Amino acid sequence: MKKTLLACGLLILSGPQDLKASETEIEVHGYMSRGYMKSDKYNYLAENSKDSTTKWGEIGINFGYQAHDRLRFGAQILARELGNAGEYNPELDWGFADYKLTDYASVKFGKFFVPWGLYNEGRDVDILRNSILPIQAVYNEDFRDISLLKGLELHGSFELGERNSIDYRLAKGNVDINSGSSLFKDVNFSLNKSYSAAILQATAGAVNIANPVNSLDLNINGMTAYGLVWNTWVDGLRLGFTSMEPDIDINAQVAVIGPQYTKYDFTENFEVSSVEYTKDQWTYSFEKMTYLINAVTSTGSTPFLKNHAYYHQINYRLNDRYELGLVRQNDYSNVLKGKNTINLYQNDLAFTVRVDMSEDWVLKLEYHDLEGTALLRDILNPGVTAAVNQGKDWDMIMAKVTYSF
Amino acid sequence: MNNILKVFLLLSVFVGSNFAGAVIIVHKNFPADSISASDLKKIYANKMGQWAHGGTIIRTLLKKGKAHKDFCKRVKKSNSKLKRFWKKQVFTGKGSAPKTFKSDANMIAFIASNEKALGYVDEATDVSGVKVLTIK
Repeated sequence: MKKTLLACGLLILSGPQDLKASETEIEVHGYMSRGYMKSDKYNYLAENSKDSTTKWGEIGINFGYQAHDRLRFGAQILARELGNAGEYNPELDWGFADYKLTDYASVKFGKFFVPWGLYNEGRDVDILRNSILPIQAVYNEDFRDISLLKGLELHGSFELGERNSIDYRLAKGNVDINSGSSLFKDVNFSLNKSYSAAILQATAGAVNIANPVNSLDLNINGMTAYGLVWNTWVDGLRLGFTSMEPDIDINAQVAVIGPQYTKYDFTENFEVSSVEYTKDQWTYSFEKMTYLINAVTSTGSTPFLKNHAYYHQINYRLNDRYELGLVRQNDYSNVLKGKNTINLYQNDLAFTVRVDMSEDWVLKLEYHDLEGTALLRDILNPGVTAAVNQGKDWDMIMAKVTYSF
Repeated sequence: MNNILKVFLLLSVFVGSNFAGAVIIVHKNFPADSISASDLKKIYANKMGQWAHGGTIIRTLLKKGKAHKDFCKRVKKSNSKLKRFWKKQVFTGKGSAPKTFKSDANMIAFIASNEKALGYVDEATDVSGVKVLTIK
């Protein structure tokens, strides 16, 4: 694996490549990032972020090929690390063929980002935005696995007037949930905890197994997602809406109990409403996300998680080198249980300075003033609960440097 | 009042003569003599990728300079936003990055040898060998 990484690194540092292929060219681009984060109280996003960590980076190699006036191929290989997740194992991030049927419709086949707000595409490439991380209230890192779909997408754009158009996307396919991903690890951790307690209770304390889940399988099959973006006649103003239903089938083999099936049923779709307005050097964005999940088992269907989250972001480009960003985000992880308990909400006020040191190098510095612990992962913060914690107010600093070509 | 108007007009001419604008250039075999401002904007917003007469448009950009600044204004994007926009197209698989050139001469040489290419140079540059398009 180190040899693969070394080869990728050398390719990136050698700069842009155009590999001749028939009459057109295969374009090769890439990026390499390294980050640092430190929180003052909790482990957020990565193991040991409380003590500071640099286990945070990406190496991406990107290929594009215009095979025909109507047919384009693209793929990206990504090796990433965030704490103990990823471990720089190279994998196909996305890869697809895109065929233009008419001026209004194209069809895409392969693995691609699902319609999810305005900024899901390119979420792994920090140079595409002001903030270091995608804004977590809407683009939660733990849900990264459901941000990509394997399947088919119909997409295109309709002109409604001289400066007025609607972009649309309709996608259907399956989602891979990698066993090394945060989502898989979190579900595994949560099931082990609940089945362990269930076994202890059912056996009146006679059987105590800390990790009774012997095997686990998570699948999202046949998901439909769609998105609309209205590029309004007001210069710089666009409005968006996306919706998907990522129902998750969970099959677990549990010690003592046997095979168990649960479905996380999105009874209210995973929906994001978006506004973006750009005027001169200013950009304002607002996005709001909602969904409701029912847990479906052999005993019935129970609402167990209803999420509300939103953010406001303002970016100001001072000049070609410097850009400032301010984000206020609020996440209410489960409004079925309330909004005021420390582990049910997380508010974050973040300030970013982006420095485009050259066309290829970008440095970002970011400060987060946080309140609440809703987005903390149990697996990174064992023992932290609504009753036992280090207080609602905490903060975090981050820095990241990226080279791209 | 008339004198003020004359001074203002003279000042406008003076300022205009010192402002190096961009002229849009294509291959000398290009079948049209003009391009609409709307199409130019769409091409660099990745909303239009094919020429009306056929073929994939090869977009180009200058790295910097007055002509580049003027061109950015014509396509309604700042230099930084235009470059970030194309990085996004590349890293999301939506399109090919425009070819970038350090000088007008390099861009003219490229366009002179690529029938599907579109570019721009400073209006004061010698453009023999390529065709200049007027903007409708």
